[in-house]
Amino acid sequence: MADTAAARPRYDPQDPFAPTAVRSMLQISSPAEAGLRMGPIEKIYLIWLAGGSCDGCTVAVVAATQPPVEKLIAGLVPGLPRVELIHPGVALEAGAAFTENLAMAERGELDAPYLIVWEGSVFENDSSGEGAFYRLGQDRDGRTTSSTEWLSRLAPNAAAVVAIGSCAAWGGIPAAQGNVTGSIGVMDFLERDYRSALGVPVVNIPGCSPVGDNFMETAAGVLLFLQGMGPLPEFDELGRPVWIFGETVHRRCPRGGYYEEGIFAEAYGEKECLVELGCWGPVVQCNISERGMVNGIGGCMNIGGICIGCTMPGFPDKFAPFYAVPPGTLVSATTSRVFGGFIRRMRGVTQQDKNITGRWEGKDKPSGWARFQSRPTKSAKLVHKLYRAYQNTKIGN
Amino acid sequence: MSTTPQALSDPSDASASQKPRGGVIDLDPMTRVGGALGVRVTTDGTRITDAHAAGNFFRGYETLALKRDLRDVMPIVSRACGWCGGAHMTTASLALEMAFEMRPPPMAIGMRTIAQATEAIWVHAAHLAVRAAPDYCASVVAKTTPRLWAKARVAKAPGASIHGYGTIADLMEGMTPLTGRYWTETLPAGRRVQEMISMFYGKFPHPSVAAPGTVAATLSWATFTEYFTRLVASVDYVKQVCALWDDLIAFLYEADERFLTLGQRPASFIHAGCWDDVRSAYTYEGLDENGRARLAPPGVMIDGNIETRNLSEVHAHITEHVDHSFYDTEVEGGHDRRGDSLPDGHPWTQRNIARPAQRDEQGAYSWCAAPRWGGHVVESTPLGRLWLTATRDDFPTNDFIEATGSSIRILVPMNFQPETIVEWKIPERVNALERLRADAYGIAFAGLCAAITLLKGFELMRTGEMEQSIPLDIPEDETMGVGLWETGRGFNAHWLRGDAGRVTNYQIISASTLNASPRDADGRPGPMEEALIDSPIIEESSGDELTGIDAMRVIHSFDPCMNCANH
Repeated sequence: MADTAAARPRYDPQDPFAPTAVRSMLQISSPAEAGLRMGPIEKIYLIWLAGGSCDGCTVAVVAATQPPVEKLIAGLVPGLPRVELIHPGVALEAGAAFTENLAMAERGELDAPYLIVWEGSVFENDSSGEGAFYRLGQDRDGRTTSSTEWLSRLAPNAAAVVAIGSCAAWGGIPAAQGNVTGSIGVMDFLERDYRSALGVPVVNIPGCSPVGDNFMETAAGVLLFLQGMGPLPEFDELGRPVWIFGETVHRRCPRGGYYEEGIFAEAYGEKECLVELGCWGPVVQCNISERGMVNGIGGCMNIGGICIGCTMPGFPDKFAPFYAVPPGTLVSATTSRVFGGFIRRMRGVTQQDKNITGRWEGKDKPSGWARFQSRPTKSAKLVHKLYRAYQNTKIGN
Repeated sequence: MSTTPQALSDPSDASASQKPRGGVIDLDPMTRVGGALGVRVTTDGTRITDAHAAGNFFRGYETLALKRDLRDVMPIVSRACGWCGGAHMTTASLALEMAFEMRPPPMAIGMRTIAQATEAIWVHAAHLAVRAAPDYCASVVAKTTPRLWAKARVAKAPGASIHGYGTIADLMEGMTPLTGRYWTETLPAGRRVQEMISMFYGKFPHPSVAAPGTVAATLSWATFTEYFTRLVASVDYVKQVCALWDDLIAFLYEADERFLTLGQRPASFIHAGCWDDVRSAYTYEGLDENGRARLAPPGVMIDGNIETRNLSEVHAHITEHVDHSFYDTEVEGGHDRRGDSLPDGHPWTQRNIARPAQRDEQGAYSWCAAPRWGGHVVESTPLGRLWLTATRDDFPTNDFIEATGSSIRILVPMNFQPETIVEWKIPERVNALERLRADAYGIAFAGLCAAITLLKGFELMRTGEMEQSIPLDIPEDETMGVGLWETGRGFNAHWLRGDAGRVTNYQIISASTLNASPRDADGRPGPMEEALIDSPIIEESSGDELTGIDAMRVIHSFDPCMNCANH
């Protein structure tokens, strides 16, 4: 059957089972929403598609608060357009009515621009739906389609393609040793010359799963730019947001101070630096140690887990075996033990002096908690004296 | 929905046009499920006459685990599912603990139980609000069943003082996806639960704070107290959700008795049990003892009769069929860890090899395999978990939960709303709505199981038993292990074989592998297909106009997650 307008089923926008995009055309901005809008774009479709995914990126985005997804959908984030979400995980409609959303986007019938967010690896050889690793609906002539095929069809006219999670960005676990599905990343699939309708290459938000807010913040940043308000967010040579992935996770790690002083955990559950248990943090580009996982809570090293490099293109195979010590650690940790150990002892001496008020000098501390002598050794006393003398020369400088 | 009218009657015949007409309803892709699922049902206008559920995607996690360092399977296989990655990681950990003959310290087991019960809260709450509730939302009810909607508008909700919805119609408005109150309130409530999981697991989904036999979170006073304050902040939500679903279900039964048989199937369940006691040891020889000490017990029930409560027997009689799935099998050994023989098709004895093909309902049509227990078609849902719990006589003594034999009484503590005892009663039948009710009460059950274990955690902290990890001794020779555990939605098991420190075979069966399974070797439908077949069509339209809402309600009652199922 030819896919002509006459042959297509007609959907009633009042029907709750009509395609989201059809129902959306009826929706008029509420006064509250219109009052919050500050740019030319009133609405944008977010088409969420998946390949070799686990839904984990969806779950992570639900946890985001900057802004929360329910506010974005309702159009209640100042400055941002209302986001019309077309996601198989939340859509009311199923079957052909769901895939009709995608067909409308392909035919250019949506009443607003659309973003594609791709979760999971791309099954490279799933060009047709028959025998596919991900079947996603049928064309009107009854031919089965694959999710990969929809990516090929929709990417050229998308405002942007965002690859969420390490599987979408680099291939991830489905593309690792034992890959039987032909899994690759979105960039690999769309290739180097791909540009979206707005001229943007694939944006990558890696992580397994990523921090939900890393996605939301980037999406919100791009939308603010499109509204003419924000600056253009900065991306690195692999399409990662620079302010998120520009630093190693170790530089912002709450256990980094232990590394500096050469103190390392010997067993899980200990509070010190985890590199000798297998943590790859010093070379991995990620911000979870600063941002936490959900609402600032959690985070790998924050809680006690080693970094296994889940945001990196080399994940997982180049970081395995995860529970063995990274080879580079032998050099760096030994260096840190020697120099950090010396610094730590020096700090201990200074700290001893700073724990004594002027009144306690040369006496017992008046604490009922323990018996403390405020009488440092002669050599420590000399060090304290020299240290303070030097400290005082800084006055006015 | 796209429907193809069937020529059951000549539409020009005036008397026949009064009768509802059937058709094929193609719910492919099925939405509001985990992963990709396609369901095709045939109806005669009054009931569903045939159904095929097809798992529509595959990633190959059993192959991805192969040849890896044994210790690494945990973070690899946890990625099979983003909804319950912690459960997959824990299941893998149990398989390794058995293989390595490790005995994790009490604090590690306690932290794992707390985190896992919390993950179950999230799975139940998210499923009910985001996936199941929209099937009963105002616009859907008004469109598909105007007569039911008219009744809902005048029906007072008995639990209004708890959940705040005055009428059933108000409640249905609240269930509107993306904008309804129930939907928008569940997201922040769920976020708080995600925070609670992250405190022990570092990350959610996909914990970063676990190694074999270990939960690596650095414990401090803050860990337990921060968790505790969030648990207490969640108790009112629990009371509201139980009351809300009780009211909706009571109304639907009263308004149209066909809801009693919607999605009905025999009371046949399989459960592995979960949430270990802090003093438990997980060994192959001690499976039964370990299972008995679990807060959610293992067991198999066939047609309402409990066949066994021994975890070893739950395990021994599982077989997996691939006759209607896109796999070939290879036989791989025929014995268990002790050297005893296992039935043909037991997951320890075979491996599945992907064989992509066209969908053919007479032949292979799904990426999901078809596991059975002792030849029986068994489902695994929160309903079975609560049923097995209510009828046990050895529930550990505690302050919150009581198993009475015919019900579970759960004391939900005070917050802004007063202390409440919610009581889940064994239903007269297994149907779509009772599965959802069990999901709602499952939140209370999981939450208070977490509370029971939290108190044990405080006790361990008081007595100074703070060890969280033990050294790993990786066996160099051939080894086997099986992790038997549960996700929020039910059964989960991983079978492992290793040699020289590397994985040589890995097999996964989860709740949705059971529930969403296709036909087996004998052509018997899987539980979800079985529940669909003969289920009534309640919607008032027919023929081309059928929306398939009744089939959707049945499908969603199983909370199918094809990530777990097909892996």
